[in-house]
Amino acid sequence: MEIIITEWALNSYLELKAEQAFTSDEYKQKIRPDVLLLKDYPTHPKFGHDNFWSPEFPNGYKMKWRQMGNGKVQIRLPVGIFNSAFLCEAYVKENPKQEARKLARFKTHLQLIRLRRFTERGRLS
Amino acid sequence: MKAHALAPTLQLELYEIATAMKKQGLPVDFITAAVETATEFEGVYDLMKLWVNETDAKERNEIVADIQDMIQDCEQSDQKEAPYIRFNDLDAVAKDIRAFKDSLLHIVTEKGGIKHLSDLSHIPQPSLSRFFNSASMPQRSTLLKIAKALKLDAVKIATEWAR
Repeated sequence: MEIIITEWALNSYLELKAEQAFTSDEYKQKIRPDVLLLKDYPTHPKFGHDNFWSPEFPNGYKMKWRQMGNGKVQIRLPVGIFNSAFLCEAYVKENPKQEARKLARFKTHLQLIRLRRFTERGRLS
Repeated sequence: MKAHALAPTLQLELYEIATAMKKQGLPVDFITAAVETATEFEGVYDLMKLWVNETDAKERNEIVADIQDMIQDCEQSDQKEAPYIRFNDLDAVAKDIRAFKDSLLHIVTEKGGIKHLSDLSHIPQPSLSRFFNSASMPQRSTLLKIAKALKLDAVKIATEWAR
């Protein structure tokens, strides 16, 4: 499966980098290798673990990491699964109210992907 | 593809939320765009519901900024491709964007501040605060509204990272 980086994902990486939500080592050793598992979606066993991968909406899932940013935060990466995997807006998990807002944003982005109204910023390989 | 047809009762609910937003002093342009977008996009409808059910002022401001972000995202009418940015370049890009926004904020402060800009541009204040505080790439439409409101020339809003 192709892994598409949307502009929403790119923007969120900029935010997370500015917040120092993850270190370069964490990106290289944890986040990137996990995201690359999407190439083999859904066969890799990690997609069966709900502490790593959970469904939110039709075609909409969340990838999860704990103890990032030197053990301080949890990061969530919403992913749209269609004919390709679309990386959406990643964020640091804060509280249930923020989570509700982020999911509403994700739902909107999924609809925009279905309508093919989004910007692609590259593919992960 | 019509993805989200809102039932008449839910549409009425949206108008009620719009009335509540007007009472809270949110810009009419914003409210109109929010209702239009929520009619088509269920996620934006969800945000409108979150706003009306929220009592905490700070959280409400976050929701307003989210709605404004989604209004802008939903304005895109087709699929586009833009240049890839390598992970190793993200820090430099973030620094460039920060410097650009700091410079623009300096001008905004000299010209009366964010509240004044909100009144002139009809962009909600929470959305402008998020715009200036965040490291994300600025929306070209936001930059144009700011330039128009403050009568800035194109050079002042020029950045290669506008999207």
